Amino acid sequence: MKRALLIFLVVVLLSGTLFVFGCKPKKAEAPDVVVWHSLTPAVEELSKAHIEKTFKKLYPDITVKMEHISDLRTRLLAAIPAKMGPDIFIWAHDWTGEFSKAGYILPIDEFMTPELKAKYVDFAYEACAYNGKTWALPFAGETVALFYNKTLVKEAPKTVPELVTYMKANHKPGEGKYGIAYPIDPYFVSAWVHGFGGWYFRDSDKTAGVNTEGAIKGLKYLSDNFKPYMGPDPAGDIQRGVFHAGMAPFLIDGPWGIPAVEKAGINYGVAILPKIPEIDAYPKPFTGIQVMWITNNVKNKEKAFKFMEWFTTDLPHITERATKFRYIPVLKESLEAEGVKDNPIIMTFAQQMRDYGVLMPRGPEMMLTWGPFGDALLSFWLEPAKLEALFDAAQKDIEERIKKAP
Amino acid sequence: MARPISRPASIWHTRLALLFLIPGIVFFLFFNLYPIFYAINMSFTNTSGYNIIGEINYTGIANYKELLTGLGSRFFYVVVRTLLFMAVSVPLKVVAGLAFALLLNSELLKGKGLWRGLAIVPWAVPAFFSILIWRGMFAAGEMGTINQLLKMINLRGVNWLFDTTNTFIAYNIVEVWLAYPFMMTMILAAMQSIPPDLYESSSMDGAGTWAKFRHITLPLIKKPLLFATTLTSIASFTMFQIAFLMNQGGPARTNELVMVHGYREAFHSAGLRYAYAASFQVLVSFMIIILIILSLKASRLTKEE
Amino acid sequence: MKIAGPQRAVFSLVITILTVLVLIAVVFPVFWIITTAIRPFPTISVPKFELIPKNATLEGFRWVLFESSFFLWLKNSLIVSAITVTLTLFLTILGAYSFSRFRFWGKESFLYGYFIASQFVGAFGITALIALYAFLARLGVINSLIILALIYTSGGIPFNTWLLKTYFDTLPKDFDEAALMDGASFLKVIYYVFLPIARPALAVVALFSFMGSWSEFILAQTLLGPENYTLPVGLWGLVGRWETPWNHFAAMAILFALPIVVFFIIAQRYLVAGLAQGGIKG
Repeated sequence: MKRALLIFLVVVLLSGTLFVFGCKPKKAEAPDVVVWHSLTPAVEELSKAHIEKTFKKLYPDITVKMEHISDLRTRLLAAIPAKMGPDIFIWAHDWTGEFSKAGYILPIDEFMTPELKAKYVDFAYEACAYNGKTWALPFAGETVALFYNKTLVKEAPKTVPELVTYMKANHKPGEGKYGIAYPIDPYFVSAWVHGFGGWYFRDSDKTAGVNTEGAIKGLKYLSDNFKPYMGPDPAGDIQRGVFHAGMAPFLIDGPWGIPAVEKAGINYGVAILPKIPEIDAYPKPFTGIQVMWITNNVKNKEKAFKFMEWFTTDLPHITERATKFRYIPVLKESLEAEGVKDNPIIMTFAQQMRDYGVLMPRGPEMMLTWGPFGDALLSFWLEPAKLEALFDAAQKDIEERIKKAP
Repeated sequence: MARPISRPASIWHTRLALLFLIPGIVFFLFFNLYPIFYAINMSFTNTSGYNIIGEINYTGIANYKELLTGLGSRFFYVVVRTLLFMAVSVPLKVVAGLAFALLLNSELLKGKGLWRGLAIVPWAVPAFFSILIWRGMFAAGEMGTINQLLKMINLRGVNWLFDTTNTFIAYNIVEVWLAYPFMMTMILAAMQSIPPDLYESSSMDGAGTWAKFRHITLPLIKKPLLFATTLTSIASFTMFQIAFLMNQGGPARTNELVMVHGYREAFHSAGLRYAYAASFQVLVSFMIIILIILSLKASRLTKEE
Repeated sequence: MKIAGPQRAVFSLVITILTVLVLIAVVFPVFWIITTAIRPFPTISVPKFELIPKNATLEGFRWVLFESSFFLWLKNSLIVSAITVTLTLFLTILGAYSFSRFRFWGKESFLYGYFIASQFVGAFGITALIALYAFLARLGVINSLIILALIYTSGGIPFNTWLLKTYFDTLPKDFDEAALMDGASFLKVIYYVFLPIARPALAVVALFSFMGSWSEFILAQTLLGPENYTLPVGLWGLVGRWETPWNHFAAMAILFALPIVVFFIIAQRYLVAGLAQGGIKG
């Protein structure tokens, strides 16, 4: 009896172990270039179709696989050190500092030519540079602008006081009408901080400036002019819902918000953020550039670069992504293309970025800035009187974090 | 070849027990304990995203020192807030679970199967999704379904998620909603194993409903109930998803619970400082262990009857 | 004082109505998920209360069924959950039996250890994740559904063993002692005596391990590639940085939850069966 049991259990254990080690997934022919991204399924499909149509003909010897990864950051942080990462990944450009410092991405200067460089709009290319090296290639830009509901307002206001007049006229909270829908978040409010000359973190002199005079003035201006005309909960989804329901004539949002606005059946237009006449300046929102990096797990850097170059410069591909999904092109040629240059929505976002955009910093320090800034921002929204104290504390907190960072 | 069963602990029993336990233990060690020891070890180093493929140095208890001194009163605030959440949510969960179990186990209830199936639904929907739905329902002004319902019965709308106290109430509502099916299932299963003859004989003795509950049901489900309560207390202590997804422990961190705090400190704001994050996790685990030992002591769950 | 006749019928009606009312309140958020799923535009909150939105559409479900990778994810989830449940039941029955019926040296400390282990496994987050990833990468078993199922099983073992042990403890010892006295082996006793009696408890363990493996996504999304995504990973992937297609998301969540409800209704039969019909009264 005892022996039978023993044998039985040994068999179980052995087969379990065999199971574990015997079942290594079959290694299919690994593609030359594996790309990890978080694009939506429809956008991924579009890219895949263009890869089939164009890229395969141009480079029949390079095989490519696009993989949607749902929590890209965690996955990359685990996979790259374990040598299981992709060849290329796609995200907004502000990860450059962190990932280059960790050695997870490789510079691509050896492939760069002046002709290629000249194809991208200047600020998009600038977003790919850090510490004197080029790390990425850009394919789309994002920023926030002013959406307006054409059935509620005829045309977009040009200045903030004009905007305030419209908001005041429409703001009747008791009847479910608000002046504006505005997600209160560090990215979305950056326009006012920058407009008044403040900043979050600067790569140029590596300093944080969340309690500088400009930042404080900008935040005060934001709160004085917008808060009275907003719904009580400043969370993004809720604010957007107000605009989608036609309860507010304005919304501050980026191009990613367009599909939802269209599906909600709102007759909308987009304008650049209105001027601040008090200081004769425009608000300057953060600009994020969607870029592609090559990781240090890359199998064949040249092939990876070829794909990246094609992905960011193939005109029909970029243009279709712009016209169908409102990805704002940063390829000069595409901005001149039919369907793009005559599309007021795309061109407004392009103008907002070009004329009044501030590139998100690339330094890893920026990652330490978002959190304290966001906390101070919401605390300020709760207790407006504490503005200076809150941002002084945030500035200290950020400096402390930067000092302690490895 | 009958064997005496009530024999005191013998070598033979130990061996057989070990044989039965070994497969599970090996599995557990292999996949779970290794990463944990790795993390504990890491908490005494300066490992970060920047040197994980390079050179790592031991820094002693530096991370722990920073954790305890650097955060100071903030850490204390977070722990107190978490304990408060436990103190409020656990009794609510137990009462809700017990009430549902009694209701759904009542012999007077028609269509038990269907109702039990429905009662489990909050558990069946993936938590992260239902929390996001709750967040939409708790929206302020007339945007939130809850406020719309309150208006129908002529009550004023509440700014749920941008107010410290209201947020705390909202967390508790969602936590009870998410966790009562677990409590209910545990209790129901225990009630099922009470032989019906016990009730029949007590009915003959003239016992009322309350007396039956008090003298038959409660003593017999005591152990599973205590077990479930211990588990759900720990779940409250380590609750992350509700606070994080509803408003990140907000507004402005005023409802930050331990796990949310750790996550935000370690991964949002501290910049790939894995070792620092690990030390936080070790500290939280330590608190959990204390919590478990205390509740096991209090409930006498490990004692043989 | 057994209630009988018409009085009983009234009580029964009252209790049933009460149950239905409570359940309506409880299930309301789920109705709301359905409402969100059939709304023609992707918004999570709307200003007017409508249980059935204007221009309701099944577009969300159509998208999930025909345009997303729902069935691939479903298949992967089913594989992971099936392996997890089977293995968990097998391993925990043995463990719980030892804890409940044997007295052996070190049992108390074992129990403590098991219980504590079962509770803080989840507290280790990304650090443990990176360690686990590196460890599995070295073994070359990243991106495997079987490995994922093994990890889920192993993570749940202490908890499920504990759970089952508490139920085994409530079973009268006379049953199995009698069988053992008659000369049956331990395995036979477990198979012929414990499994039938403990069906409600086993149903609970099966339910727990199913729920755990069915909705876990942090590990899954770290370890699996897109062709092996499980449902929650796919679902979570719909949540965008700024924008989420709530109607698609809701539709998928409903289809996601259905198997669990079905599973519960099946497990339910065993829960109800229990001792009363188990036929071991004698």
